[in-house]
Amino acid sequence: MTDTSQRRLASHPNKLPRPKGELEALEAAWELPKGWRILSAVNNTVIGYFYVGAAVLFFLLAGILALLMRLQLAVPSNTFLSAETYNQIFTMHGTVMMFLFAVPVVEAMGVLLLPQMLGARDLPFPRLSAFAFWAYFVGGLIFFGTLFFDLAPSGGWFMYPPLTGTQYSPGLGADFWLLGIGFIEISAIAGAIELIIGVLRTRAPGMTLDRMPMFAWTLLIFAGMIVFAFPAVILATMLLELERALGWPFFIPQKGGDALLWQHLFWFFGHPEVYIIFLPAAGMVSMIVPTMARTPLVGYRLIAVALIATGFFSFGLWVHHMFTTGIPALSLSFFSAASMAVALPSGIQVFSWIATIAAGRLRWSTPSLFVLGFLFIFTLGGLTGVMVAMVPFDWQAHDTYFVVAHFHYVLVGGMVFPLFAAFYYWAPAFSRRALSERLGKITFWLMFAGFNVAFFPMHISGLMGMPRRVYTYPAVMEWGVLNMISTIGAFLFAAGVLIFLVDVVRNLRPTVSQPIGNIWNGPSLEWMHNHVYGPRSVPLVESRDPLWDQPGLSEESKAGRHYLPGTVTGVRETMLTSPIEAIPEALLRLPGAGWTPILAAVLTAGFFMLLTVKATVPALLSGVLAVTAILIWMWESDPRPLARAEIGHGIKVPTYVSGPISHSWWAMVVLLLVAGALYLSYAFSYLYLWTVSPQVWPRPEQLPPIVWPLMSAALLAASSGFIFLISRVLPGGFRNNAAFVVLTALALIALVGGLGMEILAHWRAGLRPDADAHAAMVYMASFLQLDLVLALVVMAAFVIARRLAGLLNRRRRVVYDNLSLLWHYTVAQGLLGLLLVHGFPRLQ
Amino acid sequence: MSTPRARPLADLLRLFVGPGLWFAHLAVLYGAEALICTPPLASGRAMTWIASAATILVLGVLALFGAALVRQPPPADRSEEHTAAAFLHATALLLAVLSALGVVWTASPVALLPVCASPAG
Repeated sequence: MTDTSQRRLASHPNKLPRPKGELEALEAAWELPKGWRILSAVNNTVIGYFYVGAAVLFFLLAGILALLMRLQLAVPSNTFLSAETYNQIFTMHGTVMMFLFAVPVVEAMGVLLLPQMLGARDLPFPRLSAFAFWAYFVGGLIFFGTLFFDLAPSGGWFMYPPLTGTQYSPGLGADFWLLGIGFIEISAIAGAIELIIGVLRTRAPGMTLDRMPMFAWTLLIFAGMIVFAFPAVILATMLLELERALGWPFFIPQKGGDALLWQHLFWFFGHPEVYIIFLPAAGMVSMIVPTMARTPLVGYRLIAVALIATGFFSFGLWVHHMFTTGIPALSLSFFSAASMAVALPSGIQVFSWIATIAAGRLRWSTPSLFVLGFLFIFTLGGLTGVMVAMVPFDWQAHDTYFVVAHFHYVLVGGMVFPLFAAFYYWAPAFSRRALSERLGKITFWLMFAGFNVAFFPMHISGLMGMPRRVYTYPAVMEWGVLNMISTIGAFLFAAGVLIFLVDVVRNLRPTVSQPIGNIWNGPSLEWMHNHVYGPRSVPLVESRDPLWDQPGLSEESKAGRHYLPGTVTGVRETMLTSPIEAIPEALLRLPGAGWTPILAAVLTAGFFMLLTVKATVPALLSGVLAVTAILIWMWESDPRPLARAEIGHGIKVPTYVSGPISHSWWAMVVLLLVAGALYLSYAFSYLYLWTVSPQVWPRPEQLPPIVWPLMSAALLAASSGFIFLISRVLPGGFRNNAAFVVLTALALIALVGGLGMEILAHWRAGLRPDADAHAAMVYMASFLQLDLVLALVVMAAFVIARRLAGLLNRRRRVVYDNLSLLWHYTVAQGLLGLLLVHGFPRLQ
Repeated sequence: MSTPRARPLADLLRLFVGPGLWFAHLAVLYGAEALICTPPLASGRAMTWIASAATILVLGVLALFGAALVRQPPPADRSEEHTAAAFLHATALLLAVLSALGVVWTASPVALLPVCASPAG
């Protein structure tokens, strides 16, 4: 496979001095577009800056909304904001903070930091990062803009029906939420795929899984959780939007639907979401604490275990958001127990940090202060979390300000404080000047004091019975005093953020080539000399803290003594290594700057937003153009195989790989996991509605005759068979154009035919999707199948075009491999759907 | 480095056996409660039996999995080169132990509380 299996990796694979022109060629390959053309840049540093900047912008915007709310609530019976405006503002505050700030800023930090930390030149899919960023930024701005046109959603950030159904929310606000968020979720999933493959496949040689920086571990788990959690809310948004637009009654009890289905799907996403936000922040803390305490992280393995366990346990907690919905007592106890159990792995991490601080000598810097502030606030939030995990207490505190206090202690303590620590800590790695320690400390104390002054009294006002989400309140008990204190605290906190902004304007000087560098004496690779291409040469990593244990690493890397000191193929490259042991497996050629990702993102945003305002034709046009832009971008994505490339020490690796070694194969597998999770959420929803309304499920004799699903299944199986024939059985499959085109077309006809027969079978049996919840669920299976079939139609046409253009053959086949993976998955999903829709009712 | 490990995906997936079983167990208990108690299809006794059987089964599988991990230590002769394999091995074992604790903890309400009781208790 690779020559590395015969050769040991050496710590100094290359001799000095390096050949003339090597560095210049490397710099030329990575040169950034100048002036306004920088918008077409796709490399991780530039996109990372944009991404972090945009996320901070949304943090500020949502923060201003919070201040408006605090002004309204400062005194009883205030008339500063109307009820409807207040509802829109609290909905947007929550939604923007969660979807446009918290998740994106973590992905943004990942995009910016990860390659540098792993010793990679860039992420494996730079244009996907660019697409994810622009889609999020453009879509987010439009979504936020709805506030100025009185079009913003007002049903709260978790959008419970029936309040958000057409009956009680007839306007466009809910649609903006559903389509806007649905589309930002796509961006999150694109980012997650990028990060998973980045962590598993682009680490420096020798950086085995047990030597990986803790931040990379947390990003891996963060991205894995996105893959399984986000599909549930994507499905939920699809169901509610279909109900609103076409009257498919998923949540309407009179027709067999159930509003609680939304809550299950939303919180199956929503609870892991809290950990999705918290874990990477914990990863940042795990990077900052050892540097500031000047000693290695205590309990590395235990933290890895705790992270994975937290990731899993967080999927078993969702019902604790639904303790007051009338679920049987024993079920509540299961989730109450799981909610308490998750404190165990969280506790392991907290004790590891405390032990690390105790083992070393803590430097009293701004990042240290923010970390200590995080420990204090987050621990308090955790304790109130255990309180609300107790069912009887939750019944008392539910929907009061106690809960508002609890989740702000968890989210601001667990995420915003570590993030500010991270800004102060990593600024020197990306800026010509460090941020000011003096201003940083003022920022910290204002934020820390302001936060506690604002949110601690909410515990008390909550216990005194003040409900959340009220736009005003009467002058009873001490609510007025407590709220005034909270408002003062909120403005103190905002003053802290303002000073941070002053610091940023005065001192942050972003650079891609001359950062001030390792002022903290950090041990991880992002503190080596750094350039837009990452390190000049990629070192062999021999410990968890390479810069502490391998002296001279940065200088040697800069001189080109390590692997891949230049560009072998003349274009941007990074090393593809094995997922566990990080052994070099291939050289990955990366694309340079281009306009298609930003164009595709803007057009995708156009598609969703135009669809929201019911401009169907322009929306479709925008969608078609978006797909066209993506196809143009994809056309260059599977480059011609070249000769093996030497990366140093005589080690040669392939420049082209396909199948399970290819990064593209891994990305497709992760995408299939997303699709699978989405479909499992659907199967759960189908069965859930049956438990609620078995009376709308048909008797076996009311179903379409069994011959219909059998024929559908046969067609689906045949289509998979044709695809299989091309690759495995037919000897001329890749040589004979005609055979290739005919077989692919036959596969496509069988696939579309299978789906068509399924829809026709139900239609002929008299089933209409708006009749009842069962009918809507039956057509939903076909709707989900249709999404994939449409994607396959486009991909199949693309593959045929590449075959006819001579760009696809037995060796150069990544495009075909991806098509076939998705194809077989689609067929499997279709068969499962037939089994559920036609088989399950026959069991009764 | 000598031979690259042949089954990277399988090694990674082994991490998830313990937590995956924990989740499956929770899903079975919750699903059984929903099916048995909400539209009553069977008695509360059936719920107790199903929960006990599921708990014993999952704990048994976790014990077998843990025993298999203990019996097959990672390649010690080349430990210098396979630190990652040893790390994954130990991590999988620790996660299995933690998951077993989680399973016992999640199942404890069945032993302590009346089954099929109404939300108000």
